[in-house]
Amino acid sequence: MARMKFLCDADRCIECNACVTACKNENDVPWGINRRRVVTINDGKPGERSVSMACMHCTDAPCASVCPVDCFYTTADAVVLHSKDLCIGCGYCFYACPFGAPQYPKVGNFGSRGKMDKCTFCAGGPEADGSKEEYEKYGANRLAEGKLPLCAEMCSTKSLLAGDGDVIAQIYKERVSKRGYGSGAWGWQTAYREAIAT
Amino acid sequence: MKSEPKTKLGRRDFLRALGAGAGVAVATAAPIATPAAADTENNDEKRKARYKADSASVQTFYRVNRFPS
Repeated sequence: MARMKFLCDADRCIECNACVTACKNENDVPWGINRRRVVTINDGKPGERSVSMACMHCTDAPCASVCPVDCFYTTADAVVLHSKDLCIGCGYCFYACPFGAPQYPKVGNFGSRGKMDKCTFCAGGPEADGSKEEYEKYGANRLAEGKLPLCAEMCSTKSLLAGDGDVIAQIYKERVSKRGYGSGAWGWQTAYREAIAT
Repeated sequence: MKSEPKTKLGRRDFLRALGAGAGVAVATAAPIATPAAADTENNDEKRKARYKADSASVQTFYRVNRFPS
């Protein structure tokens, strides 16, 4: 059985935020919520790196472990999804997630934040596939349509990989074995001089 | 001594009538209310595999991402 995973090739990410925009547009994500974000370290300095971050669909998801109403479930494709009908907006998953993936539509205290929203790997939720209810609550179900998440499909530099973990790991391995990684990558010394090592 | 005119419905009777009325309203409304339901898909349906490895879109994605850098 394939296990769905995201992998961001940080050597290729140019912080264009197309993945963020594509996600928001495809899933009609409400204002104030970003299911995907681009994080940049050493911004404007030598050694700058950007990584596109969203829910990593953990194998042993900490959000699911702490949920008091057990609204999370993992599909056979290893995608971590949740039910907005069961969510009480307590915020425990937000504190538990190491990636800051769970987001809330409102700023408030316990129970007043509204229903939690997060990346669904473009796999919808526990409503009928392709239904209006599913789209309104969770967004598009591209996986059921035989497609992959739009953030990855939109990536112009092919930095963001999504799909079967074994396949994308193989693709990344081929890239690294050919070009090197970090300071060993082709063109690194030209861009950042010899003194910079990452 | 002049006695106060008695009201037709006393305070206690009024509250009792109000309580009984509310009880009747709840009893009649209960059968109309539908049970709370969450999610239209059952446990097996919502967990089933949806990834289609052989679809043209998925295969194209893997192919173009293998292009040499």
